[in-house]
Amino acid sequence: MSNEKEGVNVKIILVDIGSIQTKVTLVAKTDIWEVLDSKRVKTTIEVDDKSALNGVQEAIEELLETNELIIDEIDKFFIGSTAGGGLQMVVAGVVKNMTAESAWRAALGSGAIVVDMVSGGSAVKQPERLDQFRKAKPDIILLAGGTEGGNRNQVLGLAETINAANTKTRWGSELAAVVFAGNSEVREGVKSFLDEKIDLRIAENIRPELELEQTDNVNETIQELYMERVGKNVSGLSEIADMYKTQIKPLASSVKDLVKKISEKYEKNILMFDLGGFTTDAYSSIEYVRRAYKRSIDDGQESFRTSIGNVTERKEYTSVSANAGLNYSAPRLLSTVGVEEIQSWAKDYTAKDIYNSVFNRMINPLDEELYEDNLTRSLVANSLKVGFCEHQEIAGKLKGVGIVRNMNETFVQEASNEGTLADWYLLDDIILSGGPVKHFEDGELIQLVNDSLQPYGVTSIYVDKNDIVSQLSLFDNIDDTYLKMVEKNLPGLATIIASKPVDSVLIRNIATVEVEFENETKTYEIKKNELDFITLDSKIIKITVQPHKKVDFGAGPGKSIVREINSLQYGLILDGRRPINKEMTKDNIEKWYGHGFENVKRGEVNG
Amino acid sequence: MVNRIEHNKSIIRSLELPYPGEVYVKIGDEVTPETLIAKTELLDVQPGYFEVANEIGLEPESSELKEAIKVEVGQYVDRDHILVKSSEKVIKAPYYGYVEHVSVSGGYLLIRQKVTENEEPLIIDAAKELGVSNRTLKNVLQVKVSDKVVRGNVIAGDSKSITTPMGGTVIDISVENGTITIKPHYKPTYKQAGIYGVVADIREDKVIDIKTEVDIIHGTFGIGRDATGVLNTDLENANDKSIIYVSGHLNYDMLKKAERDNVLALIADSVDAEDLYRFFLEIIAEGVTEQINGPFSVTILEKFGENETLENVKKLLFESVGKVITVSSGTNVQTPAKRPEIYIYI
Repeated sequence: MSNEKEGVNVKIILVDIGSIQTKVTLVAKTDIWEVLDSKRVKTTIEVDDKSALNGVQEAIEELLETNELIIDEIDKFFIGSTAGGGLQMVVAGVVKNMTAESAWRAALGSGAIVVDMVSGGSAVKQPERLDQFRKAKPDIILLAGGTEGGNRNQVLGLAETINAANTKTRWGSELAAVVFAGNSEVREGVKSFLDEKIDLRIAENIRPELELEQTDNVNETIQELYMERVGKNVSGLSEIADMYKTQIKPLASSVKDLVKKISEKYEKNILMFDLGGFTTDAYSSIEYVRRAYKRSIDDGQESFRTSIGNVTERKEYTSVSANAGLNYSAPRLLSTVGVEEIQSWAKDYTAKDIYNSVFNRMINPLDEELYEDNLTRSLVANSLKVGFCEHQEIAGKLKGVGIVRNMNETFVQEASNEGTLADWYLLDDIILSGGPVKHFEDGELIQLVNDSLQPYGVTSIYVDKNDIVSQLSLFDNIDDTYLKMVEKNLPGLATIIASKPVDSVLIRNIATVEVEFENETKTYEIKKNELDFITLDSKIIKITVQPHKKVDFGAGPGKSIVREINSLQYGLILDGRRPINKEMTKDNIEKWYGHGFENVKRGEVNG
Repeated sequence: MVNRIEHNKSIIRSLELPYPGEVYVKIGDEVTPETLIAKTELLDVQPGYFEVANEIGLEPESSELKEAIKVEVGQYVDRDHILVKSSEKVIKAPYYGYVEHVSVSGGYLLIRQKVTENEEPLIIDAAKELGVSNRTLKNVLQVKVSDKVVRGNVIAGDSKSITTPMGGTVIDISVENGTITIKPHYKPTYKQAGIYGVVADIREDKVIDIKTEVDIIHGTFGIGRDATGVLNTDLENANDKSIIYVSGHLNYDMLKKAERDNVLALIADSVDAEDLYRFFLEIIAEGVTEQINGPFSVTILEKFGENETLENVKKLLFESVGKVITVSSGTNVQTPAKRPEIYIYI
């Protein structure tokens, strides 16, 4: 067994306490890291379960027993949780689309659900603002505002409002904690405004300059508070932390870090979806290029600015969509998208059946019978759509970039308030993870991603079939060898090549795709409204997409793009259907399922 | 979650006033569902927001304003109690109330109104405040006798207007005196025990714990606040004291009938979620239903769709017909988790 294995020098157990299932995984390092075994049991936080500890203990004992190990042989436990709806926060900032929005991103990046956003500069009157805090019942309020040396009064006004609101948490009489991550010059002022009964933590300013958003320190502060606030209230979490001598982290923050590491290692822009019971979370790590300027300021006024070239940056974004969970919050998803939208993916369901099944998922999420049907496919498709829309909003370009008047020279980001960095032209790979993934065949998953998200450009799909990647993210010392193990658990399915919608009826051939195999080059067409499958045998291939002169694949109309991609199991999917309307989706369900991959063209490749 | 019955359980139910008030019971007292245990006269609405800095002409955060504010948090004030006083101006409380917050930096006060029984009406010198003659007042009135007003409503004026500093009903308009008289609504929040039991603890003049012995039936999903009433199985003969058990499937027409008859609560084996959604609207999709203010509460024992509950559950409910029972329908699928419970007193 593993404990007798020669050369094993580290054994760890990773525990993910989800809202429905508690998953434990045994991982060991010899020369390489390896997943040895996994177990999953029901999360025990429901009314009659008493304590989350019961589920965790049961799963770990089973894992140890199967692998003939005793607890002393485990070097360390790493535990993350989203149980009980996770961490719930209200964010507050002086200006809605600047500091409040930065606070929003910081809270999400810490793995929280943001239940409300309060801004000082908005038209909201004070009594309503007080009501916002009170009604939200957050675990933590994140207060931001003021660049360094900047706004004071409005920040203090918000602190004062937070104090007046006397905000209780969902746990009863306990007051919400406050994290202040604004202008450091008013820290003492904020402290003086808050009643001593309020647990106040200070973090570094998340927006020290308008051009700069820094969230690492505030993320750490929130994670420390997570255990103190949620941990002590979700029955059993404190005991789990004590028993296994570890800290319990909000899972989303670990996954965010892992996605960043994978993206950096493979020099890719990655978007990962984790489909959950309460929430569907999306994580992205995106490298992009922006123009930088050199500015001169004369007497406090900007006199001129000149472009000094391009700056390459990488940013990470996390979105936690409480309207897109697949069981506890499935009724919210239904409410968000409407029954017709759900029905368009599950045409064998009546509205009555949809409502009953969706609400039954909420009250009895462990009923496996509920998941073996078309409705699950529909909920996943819609969850991805809602989750992606919210992620695009989060991954907005930094707003509020203006003039820094107390410096003679500075770099500023291009002052564009438009668009999102979660753009398919920038994204290379999608990773699909979460409990529902295991219910689908590969073809179904590819179709789900393609038809719901309708990516354009060149996008490869990877899937976490064993629902293990979020657990693997919990390890605190991830290096390249560890990432190799993660990679092994993320098989690639297919690469989709598609354009944005092409309106002109005169365009028949959207693009020509030249595929360079090891020994030959072949050419394929992407035809409007047609779908084509190309299998690939080489390991890595180079593709050149030459679009029609009026079609854009990210480099501008008619301009070709070149990509070197991994040859994935189901090859290339050339999709000339954008947008994919509901009728197309219905028709294509039959085409993809069961028959879809029998019609794949075999690439005639030597070797 | 499997429905089940727990027999002979000792439970403690905590009842809480929204704000401190008078508690009429003491520890050890026996109570019935109708026993009035507490009352608060502080209104459970948004507190009044007084922008005193602006009104008195002093800068927020200034030491002058700090000195001028004459009340502190936690203080009860009478009508005309001086709230803020500078060398030039005085701001008085327009109503009885409780100072909930004092903000020197924001330059405002929050005062929660307290309406006592038989409180004297508020007489507003409308003509004087508008600077018009008493007779002219009738030309610029914005309200008439018997109108209900809330704080901030315009009651008289044209280009210049005055608002009521307090909610209530307009009971008199005097052209002779140039006044408008408003009587506040007496709307205390009462708390009845709602269950049979013994008072186990009292805290902060607002929380009362009652200990009781019950059989508990666990449901799967519910909506609305706790209700105590007489259990009945006949929806055709329901009234405002009834808790109706529908043995079998509840439908939309039954929900509407229950609403017409003002029943307290419905219990059913099952229901179509679409009917429940149509009746209570999308708020039920949150899965956090305790605060939903529907016309009655609903407790579902089994899954959505057509389902029958367990025989022993049916039996216990049928055996309890005619008894006073309590349903705690509120559900929270998040944490702290809560599923509906039915208490049958032993």
